[in-house]
Parts: sequence; C-alpha cells; structure tokens
Amino acid sequence: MENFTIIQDIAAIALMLGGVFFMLVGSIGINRLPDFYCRAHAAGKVDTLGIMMFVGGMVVHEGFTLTSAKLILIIAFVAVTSPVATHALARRALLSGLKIWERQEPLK
Amino acid sequence: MDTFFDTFFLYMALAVGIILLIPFYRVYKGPTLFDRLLGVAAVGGKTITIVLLFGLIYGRLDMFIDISLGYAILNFVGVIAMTKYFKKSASDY
Amino acid sequence: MSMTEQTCTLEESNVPPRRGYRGIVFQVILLMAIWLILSGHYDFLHIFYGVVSVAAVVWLNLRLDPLPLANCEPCGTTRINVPRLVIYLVWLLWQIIKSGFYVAYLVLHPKMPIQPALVRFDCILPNVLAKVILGNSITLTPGTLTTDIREDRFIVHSLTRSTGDDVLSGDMNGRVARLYTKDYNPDDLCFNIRRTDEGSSI
Repeated sequence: MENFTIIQDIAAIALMLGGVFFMLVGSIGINRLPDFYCRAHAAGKVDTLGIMMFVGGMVVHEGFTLTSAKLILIIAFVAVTSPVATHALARRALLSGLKIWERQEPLK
Repeated sequence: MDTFFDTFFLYMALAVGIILLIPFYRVYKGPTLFDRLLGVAAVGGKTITIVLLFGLIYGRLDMFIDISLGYAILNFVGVIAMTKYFKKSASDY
Repeated sequence: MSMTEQTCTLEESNVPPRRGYRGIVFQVILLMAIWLILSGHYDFLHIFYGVVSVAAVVWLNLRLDPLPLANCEPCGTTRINVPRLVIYLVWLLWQIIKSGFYVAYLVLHPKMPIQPALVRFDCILPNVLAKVILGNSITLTPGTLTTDIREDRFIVHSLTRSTGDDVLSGDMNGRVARLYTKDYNPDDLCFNIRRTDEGSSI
C-alpha cells in the first residue's frame, strides 16, 4: 500500500511537470511561429495536450473520488471544445481573406 | 508528504502564472485581430489550470472545480461569440 | 461567401424519420451521469431535480432534431456503431498525444522545419455529423488544422509536407465512414485534391 502511494505521487508529479512543459512550449509557439494559422496549431494542439496532462496529474493525485470524476469531465470538455474554438477562429480568418505564410526558399 | 505537495503546488502555480504572461505579448503585438483573439483564448485555457491549483492549495478542490468548469465554458462561448461578432468587419482590423 | 444563401425554411427540407429510442436512451444515460457527477448529493430530492432537468433537456433536443444543421441536410438519420466509436475515441486520444509531441518538436527545433500549405479535398460522407467528426479529428491529428468545410469540400491547413500527405491518404476518412456504414466507396472519400505547395490555388 505504501509503495502504491509513492508510485501515485511520482506519476502525478511527472504528469504535472509534463503539462507545464507543454503549456510553456505552446506559449513559445504562439510567439515564435510565423503566421496566424501556424500559431493556431500551437494553441490548439500543444496547449490542449498540456492542460489535459496537467489535469490528468491532478486526477492521479486525487485518487478514486467524485472530485477526480469532475476533473475527468473537465478533460473531456477541453478535448472537445479546444479544436472547435481553434477551427472557428481559423475559419473566420480564412473567410476574411487572411493569406497564409509560405516558405520562400525550399526546405533542405 | 503533505507539506511537500503544498510547496510543490505553490511552485506549480507560480510557473503557470509566469507561462500565462507569455501569450500576452502576442495579444499586444499581434498583427491581425485573430492573433490577439488566439492569445486571449490561450490565456483562458491556462487559467483553468491555475484555478484548479488554487483549489488544491486552499484544500477546497471540490468548490474550485465548479468555478474552473464555468470558466472553461465561458472561455469557449467567448471565442465563438467573438468569431461571430467579427464576421463582417474583420478585414478592417 | 454569404451565409444567407444556405438558409432554408423548415417546410422545404424533408423532415427525417423520427430518431429511434436508442438515441434517446443514450442521451438520458449520459446527461444523468453528468448530473450525478456534478451534483454530488444522492438524496431523493436532488435526484428528482436531476430527472426533471434531464427530461426537459431531452424534450428540447427532440424538438431541435428535425432542424437542419447546414444546407438543408438533416442530421441523425444514420445509426452510429457504438463499439467502433469507442475504439475510434481511444485512437483519437493517441493521436492527440502524438500531435502534441510533434508540434512541440517543430516549435522547439532551432530552424523550425515547417512548410505550411493549404490542402483541399472532397469527401462524401453519409451525414453531416460524420463531417463534424472528421473535421474535429483532422484538427486533433498531428500538424493539420481544418479551416473550412463547405458541402463536401474540406480545406485543411497543414504545417509540413508529410502531414499534408497524411491527410490526403484518406486513412482517417475511411475510419470515420466505417463508424456509420460498411458499404462505402473508397474512391468517394478523397478526390479533387489541390494543394498550394504544388503551385495550384485553392
């Protein structure tokens, strides 16, 4: 039983650190990528994975309770709504005539 | 072990709070309106986790979960409403 | 371009046959489970409130059902295969994890080896709901982002050349089509392909 608690704690810490890492990468990507559509990739995928991992770490920390069921509900909600929001923004940008950034010199 | 997790959550909240500030540069700088909206949406997504962390720090996670779920719904509806609102005038920005 | 062309009155659209009891039962179970998780009180009064709320939501949804989602096409006429849906969701979770790692690698790479392009293809799917599922799945898979769906035409923004190839292989289109029906034509899933990184316009 004691071993199980330690494994649980380590898994929770690892998932949370991974979540923070992906949120950081998502934030960097939003600033670093060249145009709106590429930034939408960073916001819609990396950030979503970061939030899901972070809340998943909280689920592991919390154990098998009603609170963790609610946390799983938050994970499902984020997984469903984040691509929809990103798609809504990208569609509006495309319809308003925003051009995409293209690489001028060929990639090696 | 509990005291370890208390300090761990505090440092996590600090880290997420700093990460939260990075997309604000895009909100300030963004050449188009959509970049700004994307930055705001990214900040909103991270706010969900920071609210949950406050719940863990204060020991009232069951209460803060409802707040963060409401915040997630508001963030989503806000982005959808903004895209509807800027339907016609987006090329002016 | 304008949205008003697509609107139509309810009388003109052919109202689909009423959905069977199967969909309603799934809806009631799902909504009741969400209520029980969110409320946390299990005495008679709170569960009674939950039953009343679930009944009201299901009644509203039934009234919404004959309304067309887009282009006068009604949704919900085809039965979805539930075991396949579960397998599909597990596969999708794996794709989310993969895409997060892939885009993180692209962002952190010092030279950022990206080659963005818009990719267009046509895909004939059994109903509107399948198109919604495919659009969301494309957004969640590595390096691709659905930007527009109009009638059967999908416009996808791909971050690198290889991810554009992945979308155009039609693998996921087949997975989504198999959720609804066994007899689909593989040639209908991905045709009329245009990509901007090969010089053609969308």
